[in-house]
Amino acid sequence: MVEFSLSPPRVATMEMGQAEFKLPEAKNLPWSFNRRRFLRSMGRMTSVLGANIAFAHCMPRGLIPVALAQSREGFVIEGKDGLRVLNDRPLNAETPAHLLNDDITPASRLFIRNNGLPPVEADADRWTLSMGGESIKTAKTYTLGELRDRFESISLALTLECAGNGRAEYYPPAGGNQWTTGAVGCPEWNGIRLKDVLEDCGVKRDAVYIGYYGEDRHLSQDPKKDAISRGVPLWKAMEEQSMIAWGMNGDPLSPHHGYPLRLIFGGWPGSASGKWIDRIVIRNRVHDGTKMGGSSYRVPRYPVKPGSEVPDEDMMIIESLPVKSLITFPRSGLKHSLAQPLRLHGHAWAGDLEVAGISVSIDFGQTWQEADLGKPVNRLAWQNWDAEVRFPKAGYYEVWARAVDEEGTSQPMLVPGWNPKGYLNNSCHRIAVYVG
Amino acid sequence: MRQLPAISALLVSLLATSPLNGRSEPEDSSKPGPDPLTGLVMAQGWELVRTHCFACHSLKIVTQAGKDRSNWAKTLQKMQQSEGLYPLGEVESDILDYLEKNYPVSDRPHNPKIRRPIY
Repeated sequence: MVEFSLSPPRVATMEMGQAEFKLPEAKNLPWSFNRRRFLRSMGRMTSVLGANIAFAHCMPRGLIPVALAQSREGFVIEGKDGLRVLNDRPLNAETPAHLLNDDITPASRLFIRNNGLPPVEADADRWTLSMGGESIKTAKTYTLGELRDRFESISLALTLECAGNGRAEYYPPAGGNQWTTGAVGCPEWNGIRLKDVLEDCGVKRDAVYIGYYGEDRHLSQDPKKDAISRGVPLWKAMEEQSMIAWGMNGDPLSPHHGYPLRLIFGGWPGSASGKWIDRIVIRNRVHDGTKMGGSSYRVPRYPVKPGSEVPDEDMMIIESLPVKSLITFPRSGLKHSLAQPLRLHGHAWAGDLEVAGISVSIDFGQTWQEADLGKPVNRLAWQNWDAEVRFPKAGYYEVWARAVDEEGTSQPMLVPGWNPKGYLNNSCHRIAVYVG
Repeated sequence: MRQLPAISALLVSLLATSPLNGRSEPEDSSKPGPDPLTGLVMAQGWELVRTHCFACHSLKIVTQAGKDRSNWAKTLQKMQQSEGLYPLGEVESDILDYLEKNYPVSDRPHNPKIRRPIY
């Protein structure tokens, strides 16, 4: 009988406990090795299946055919636990709300958002970051070792959210992956301040923006095209919490999340936090890389009628994301005893701002009850909240949560203003509870 | 080797369902089913979409979508202008026919003021 093994890499499943799962040490097990090993095991899988995997060359790395994972729910993603795959080329997957209950999101439960294909080779020992652009004083190139040795290491919990999180609720529907609520997480990131590296190179007085370039490939595999090349204004880049990161929760970044090097800008569209980066440019104008213009990560400057066509010049780049929250405990659909109060847990975040309060409702928003809201562990980390509700009689309930930011702006209960690509849906999260 | 029973079960299940088919929709004899590989509804013209779009990207981005003809046409235009799609010539209108018919706006919910019930 054919012998086959799916490890390494190991495959995380719903049944497998968190403690059992460990990402391979990136240093000892370079990704290219993983990839070859994975492809070899694909050959064996083919013999087991008794049929060729058609389009095997199109299968993204890290995906195991569902048949072999003994699940009917689509693909299982290497290193991930219970994510819902929206798209497999490029790979995009979101996390069901109840799997985001941890105060610090484990790597296995962080959503995946890709615009292109991850690099074929990613060797941390040979990786360099080059710094350039028209507004840099001295262009420099650093190895990862130099970045580690020359700059102060920091670890910060920073909320990363896709600007399209919630897109699925807009009507008319916007194109793109139909994210519901799961394109958000708040892991602890390990790395250095972007600011320290920018200052080491020197920033000219006319600088206004930074942009990144990564090693991911355009879907067409045309080497002249970038999959994505975005950035942030200089003031955001110079904040104490803006990071160049090589680790997540103390482990090297996983291939899905930009191994070996990425940017992290907490509270801003995830697309600003480039993955697999090897070049940062300091610009004297708004960065004009791929997906900085048109309707990409931009919204109308004024409210528009749903379905409208909005001219490019009336669109503006999304910066800080709006206030938002999740109920991560219990899982929607819970059957609950009328005699018992129900304990709730979740998170709330507000882009560059802090969350000032959060309330919950069990009567479709007619009355609200204040929840206990914690402080962020550091600026731009999501805040955890707890509440306890009692139900007056048996029946179907929805529990809603609504956060308000430090400027007094709260989440809308319904879907906010339509925009061509369906960004910024921060409407209240809700779960179903059956009380009996 | 301890995985053998699982593999036999798997081979049985393969006879009934494709390993790459993530969708499990009820069979409806009046409507063509989804292609196991791409998820596309196998209605008139579906092979054209597989041929011209699937080379670069998953068709889950199509099966998630709902657009009218002019917006589908804009999508093809964008694919040609910036994403490396070649001119489609006379099959372009066949592709639009397929997309308009099988992935229309009207298939999607609904007045946004009426939030879908959750279960």
